Amino acid sequence: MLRAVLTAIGALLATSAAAAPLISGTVTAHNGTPIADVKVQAEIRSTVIAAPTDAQGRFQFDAGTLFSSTELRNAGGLMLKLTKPGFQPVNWLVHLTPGQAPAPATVRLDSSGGSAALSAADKQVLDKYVAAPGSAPLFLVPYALTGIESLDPKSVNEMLRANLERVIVTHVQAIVMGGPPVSLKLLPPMEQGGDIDRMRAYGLYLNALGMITGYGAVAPGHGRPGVLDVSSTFLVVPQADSLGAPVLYVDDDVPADRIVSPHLYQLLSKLWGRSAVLAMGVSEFGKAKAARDKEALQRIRNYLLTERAGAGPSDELLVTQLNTLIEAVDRELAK
Amino acid sequence: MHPPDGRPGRDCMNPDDSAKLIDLPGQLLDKVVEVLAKVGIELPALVLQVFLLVLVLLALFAAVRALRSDWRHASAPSLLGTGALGLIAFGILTGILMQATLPNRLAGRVHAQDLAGVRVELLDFRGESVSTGGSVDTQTGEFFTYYSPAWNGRARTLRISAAGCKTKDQPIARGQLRMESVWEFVCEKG
Repeated sequence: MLRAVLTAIGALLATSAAAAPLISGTVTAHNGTPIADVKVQAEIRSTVIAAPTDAQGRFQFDAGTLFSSTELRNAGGLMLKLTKPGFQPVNWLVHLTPGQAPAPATVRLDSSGGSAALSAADKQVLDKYVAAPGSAPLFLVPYALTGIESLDPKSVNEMLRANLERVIVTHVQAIVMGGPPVSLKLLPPMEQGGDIDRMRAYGLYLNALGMITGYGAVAPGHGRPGVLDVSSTFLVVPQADSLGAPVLYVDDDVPADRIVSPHLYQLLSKLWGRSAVLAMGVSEFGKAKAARDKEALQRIRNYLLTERAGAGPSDELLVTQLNTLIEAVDRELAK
Repeated sequence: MHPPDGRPGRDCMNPDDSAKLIDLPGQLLDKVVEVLAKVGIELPALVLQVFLLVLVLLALFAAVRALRSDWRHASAPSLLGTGALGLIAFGILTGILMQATLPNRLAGRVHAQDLAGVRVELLDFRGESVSTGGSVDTQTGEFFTYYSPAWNGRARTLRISAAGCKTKDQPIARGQLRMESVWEFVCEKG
């Protein structure tokens, strides 16, 4: 008799354990890229933390280990709460049916101000520029230009593009060394209004590594005619987490007729690391080499030596790059 | 069943009427609890209801005891009073039992332009939040929120909130506690 009762209790417990649902799913970005380290929480009456998503964006947990059997039995559903900085939180209701395992969830996370926020008109313009996943381009959205009626906005944008390309592409390549080559593409004029969320949404839609936009205006107070005040915004689209901060602001002061700008150097070095300085050096070297200007080459060499002397222990990559560049300058000077 | 002119019929009881009759003790209990709350006795519904039941039972006990000594010569008002007390006690008890049989969760769906960050909670007769859970599915608007009707009384209000929007309180009809309803939410900035 006792054995029969124990067997019945055992069977009951086994049934109850088997009934604990296994909750699983995959979290991806807009373009289908899996998102790792998404915080997964499960809510019935209380909210408990489950394991985060793995490198493939997958998560799985046994609800029976997080909630009591009574709570699970009385619950109509289990709310999954998926969060990750830079993305809009998603709540996903998993319906619980006794005796049935819930189907794996496939959840898409949009960036904050995600592509869902884009208008159909915006998407129509962007469709022509959508990049293949993994190609990692940077997109330059034409600057909002004011007070420069005398300048052709197209030429100003080309100029800014030339300046920014040297700085940003080199910097990004230094960080994602070994990754796909970074390129810069120019978008047609679009509505922007300094809206960071909109820029991020553009980037997400385009599969971009980052977005660059900003504001430019002639600054008459600088005493140097033709100096362009530029406020740039460099947005890294959320998938590129390895690039660190999702938004980098550069408030610079780019002379329209010269690349060298100590003020810009200081700001870029402070904000983006010293590889930006190297990019400027490379640019100057290219120009001096083409013009066979030995005086300019010597000036660049001195500048590069000064930069190398100021390099810290964490600037190993920069020093290697500076040495390569100094050797190239030396070869030109020896000719 | 309504007559052809559309006016409610008086000759037969329709299902709505019978439902109202069944709900009567619960509704009376709600009213009494609300009155007690208004005079400053703010306790969970079950505590107030049990307190009320004890008072009525004590009064009923005293009335029955007085009648028992010579019930044949008892006056009509005292007989009627005792009967009324018995009915009230029965009503309270029925109300408590009906309350205890309500589902301990409310399921439904919020219909809104943007479901990001939308939450729901249940408020009791005092306007106090009594629920747990309450997150809303950001795609479908579905939600489950849980409470204890036996202890808190039936949920009276569904409060819908979202960051940057004014909260919206919507009264819950008794019937909605047993079924899934759709709740409209329009974000008013505030």
